[in-house]
Amino acid sequence: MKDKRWRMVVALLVPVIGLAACQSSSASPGNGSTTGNGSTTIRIGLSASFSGATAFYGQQAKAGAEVAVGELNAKGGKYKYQLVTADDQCTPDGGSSAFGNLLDVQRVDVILGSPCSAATLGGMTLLPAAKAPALTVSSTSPAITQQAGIGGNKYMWRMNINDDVMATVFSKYIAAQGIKKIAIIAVNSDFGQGAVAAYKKTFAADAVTITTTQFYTQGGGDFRTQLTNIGASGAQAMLIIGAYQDAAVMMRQFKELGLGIRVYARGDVVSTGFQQAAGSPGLGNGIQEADNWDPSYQAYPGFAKAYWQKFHGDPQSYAVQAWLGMQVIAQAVAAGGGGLAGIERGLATVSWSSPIGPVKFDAHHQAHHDMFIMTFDHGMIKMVKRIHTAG
Amino acid sequence: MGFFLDQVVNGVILGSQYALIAAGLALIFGVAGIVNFAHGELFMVAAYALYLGESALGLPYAAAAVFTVIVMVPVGGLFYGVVIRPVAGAGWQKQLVATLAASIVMVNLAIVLAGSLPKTVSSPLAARVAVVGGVHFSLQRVLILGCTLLSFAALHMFLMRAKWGKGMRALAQNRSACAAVGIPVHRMGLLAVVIGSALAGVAGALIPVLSNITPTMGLLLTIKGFAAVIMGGFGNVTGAIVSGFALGLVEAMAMAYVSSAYADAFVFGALIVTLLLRPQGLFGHAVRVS
Repeated sequence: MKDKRWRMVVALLVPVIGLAACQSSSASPGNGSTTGNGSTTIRIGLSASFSGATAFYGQQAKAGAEVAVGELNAKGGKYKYQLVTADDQCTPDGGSSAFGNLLDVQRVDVILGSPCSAATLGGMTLLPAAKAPALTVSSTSPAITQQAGIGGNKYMWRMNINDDVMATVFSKYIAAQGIKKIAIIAVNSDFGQGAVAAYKKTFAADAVTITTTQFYTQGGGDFRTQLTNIGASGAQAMLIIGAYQDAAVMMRQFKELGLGIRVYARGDVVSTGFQQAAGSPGLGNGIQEADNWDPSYQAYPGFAKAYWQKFHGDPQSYAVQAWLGMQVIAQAVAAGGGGLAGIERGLATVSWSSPIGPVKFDAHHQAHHDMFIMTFDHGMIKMVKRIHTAG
Repeated sequence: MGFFLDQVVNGVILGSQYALIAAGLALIFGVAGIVNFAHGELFMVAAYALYLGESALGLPYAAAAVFTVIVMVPVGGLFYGVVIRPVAGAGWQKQLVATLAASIVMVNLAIVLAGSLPKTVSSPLAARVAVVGGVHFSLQRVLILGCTLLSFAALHMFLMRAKWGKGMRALAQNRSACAAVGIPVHRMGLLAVVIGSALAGVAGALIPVLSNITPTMGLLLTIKGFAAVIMGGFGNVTGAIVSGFALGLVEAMAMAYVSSAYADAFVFGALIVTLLLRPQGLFGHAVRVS
């Protein structure tokens, strides 16, 4: 009996230890060059979800950051870059724990992340005590902008535009296409709830009536009931707020139910990931999406090629945004020097004409790069419009 | 009326998925006496087996589906030997930790081995849509419902007619008495886990065609499956199946007529109301404790 118990313990522990080794494979602390402030090694801590239903956020962000680290180190120069990771599970508690681990144990010079607003909001409260800067490149909650910079948390920075800005621009675009009645289907999360709140305000301002608002659980897989409600609501169009994985399944069921209304999206729906998950190249034809990035890869051919060579697949939004974030950090280091204070100083001076538009932080540490309206046209991703949000 | 009918169809389809998972859970609890928190992960393994069959082995959907159910038989045996058997006689705390740990390990192993991005499988029936009485549904959904009912009928026949099935029912009633009269308790437990895994295999061979395959796809279904098992009366397979369909209908109606944001609250509210009215569950039997 004892033997069997041991066998079970070993059977359970071996994969867990293996996983732990994989998770922390990027680097380990205590190598003598980890504290910044004069060191020539810049330790970047990526806070993202690496487990559970949102693990793809972390895997993608890590892959994009790894490509950037390789490129930056290959360029040579005074500083070397090193990436370490922490799993924030996409939750406020997880964010607090991950930021704490990166600051106190891994002793990073700057935090990149989190892709999830909930984790960023949970972790950013630790930054002032550690006097450590963090740059998020994918969190879209307006609350981060409200709490960062002047009069608030001066160590939190955001490269991507937030939901308030995106909703203002995108609802005007939708209204201009003659849509008077729209239904919303959103993921039931901080991201989805926050975006719905933003669109309720902006659609009202643009005289677009929301006929119904439906929520779904991420990874749920069955959206027929919500789609039936949308079909019965008399909407001329549907706005999907969620990730491409769910949107791909949703669009299959949309076709199954014979719905013929126009589809708009907000998330990373118009992407090669959607095409792979959809299983049918034409499934997404006509969807128009407001994006933080250009998913056609024409804007960053060098990165897309390097990513392909390393990972044999297309980079998705979190990978591209992490790569862009790493470029911003490199610019901050070049301007302000290494270490916590140097990067914090440098971020304030960043003024970069990035592939997605100008990256320059305002008083609330919010950058205002361009917004992209993308669509699927005969199975191909095409840019419909590039909109300047700065000023 | 058309809208109501639409939602009834949606509820029945949703319920058939919960029922498939719940039936396996109830069988394993009834016979092996273990609450298997990793049952959803057996469904996930089956879905990846289907993907493997289609993409790596190049099998057509029908063959890949059969392959999936067959693969789940040894997987169930392995699961019993590694996770269930060592804690079969232990307290519920150890059983809970063992199956919960197995669930976490299986999900994270899938993330490491297959990645967290979704995989897709296709069936010729998925794209073919029938319209009956104004209700649109793909033929794959008809297949899911048909195979689900067929699986339950086969399971019912086995439990009622076969010698081993009768042994399982006896075991669910009184383990000590069964052991005393020479019924092989552990072999029965093994068989229950294998049948439960095969049912997860049926679910894994059918449902992923309409959604995607991800490492965490089993988590949500397991939670609803557990609700159905508790509502039906712990360990009662028929109760679990009926409750699975009932919860699917409650969820669809709550989303249709109240709010999709609170659909889960209605599902678990229905569970609580049922337990308040019938603490032993819909099909469970009350036991007088002196």
